[in-house]
Amino acid sequence: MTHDEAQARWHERLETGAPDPELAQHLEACAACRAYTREMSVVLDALNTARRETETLPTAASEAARGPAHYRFGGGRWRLMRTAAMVALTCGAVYWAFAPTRPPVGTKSPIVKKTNAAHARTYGITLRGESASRQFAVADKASTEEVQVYWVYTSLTSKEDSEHPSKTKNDRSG
Amino acid sequence: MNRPAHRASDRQRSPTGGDASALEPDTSGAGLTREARGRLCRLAFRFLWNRDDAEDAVQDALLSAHARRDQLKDDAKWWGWLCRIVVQRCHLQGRQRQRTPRAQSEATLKWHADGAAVDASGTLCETTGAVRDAILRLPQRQREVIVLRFLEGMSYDEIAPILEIAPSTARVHARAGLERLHVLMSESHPTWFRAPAGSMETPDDA
Repeated sequence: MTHDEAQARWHERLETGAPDPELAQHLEACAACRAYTREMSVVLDALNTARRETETLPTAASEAARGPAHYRFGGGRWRLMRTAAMVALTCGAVYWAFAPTRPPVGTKSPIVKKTNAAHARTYGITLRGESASRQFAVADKASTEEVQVYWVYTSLTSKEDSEHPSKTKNDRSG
Repeated sequence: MNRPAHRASDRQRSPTGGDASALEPDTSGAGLTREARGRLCRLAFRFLWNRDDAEDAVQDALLSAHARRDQLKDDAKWWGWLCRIVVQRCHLQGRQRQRTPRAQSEATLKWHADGAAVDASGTLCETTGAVRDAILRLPQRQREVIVLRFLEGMSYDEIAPILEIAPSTARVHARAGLERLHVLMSESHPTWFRAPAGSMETPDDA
């Protein structure tokens, strides 16, 4: 019996498990085949160990944690998308609710708008007779208010310039 | 003479009470018994060595099986047919993982994390790790036969229809795979194959 025949019969015997006296006799005489079968047995034992260890793979616990959504999107990704959507919706709602009443940049307080007329009138009196540079400075500060701008305009023109169309508006407000 | 480490096993019969109609209720595998699904996951795990990948592969395989339900001609062979789809899916997933090195490294990390579940001590058994590394380096067909025969315990008659090859071809692949495993494992763990002291084994030309 050659090495190859002996090794083939040894592999065949793995399946059947039947005793093979001829093979046993050959292995007793042939050290190379004996070494081959010993080393193959080491490989088979290692495979057996791996089989036993992977036999206890815990799949039951993960089944409950993995639904279709997890399968399609991945658990972390799906949760992240949902959270991001909720944050975006909340931010949008807050902006939509408060943005229209937000005061313009540079305004100290929105209350100024409610007292436009009084402020304008006061400015008009104060500015009369002052230097042009100072009037411009005050006018600059009050430029965010329409009515105040009108009074600054009147202060820079002559006192008799009451025919300006905005005068009517000033009268209403005052 | 060495005792055979593996005999033809009958563990791989179709699961108790299961039949092809188990695929009908839905595609998520809920129709399968817990035992059947667990066995499919284990089969996939032994190819991919990663629990999440294995469960994804089984899920994909079940979806695919549902879509190809009309291709199953003999209902009695539904289990082998399902195993074949799982093996094919594992092969595809393994190739996808090889194309993305980052995913491969993540899979390795997950394997170590999963090792805690497999091994209560939290460390991966050295033998299992060596087997995994060697199996992953085998050619595809040898890997399939080795996993099905020696890890799943299927007989060659059961392996043949799953891989769509003859039983004798499966035997040839198994022998070649074992010898290749021997080479790979003796490179990584030479001490395992060292002859015991006092042994008279010397190479000769008998």
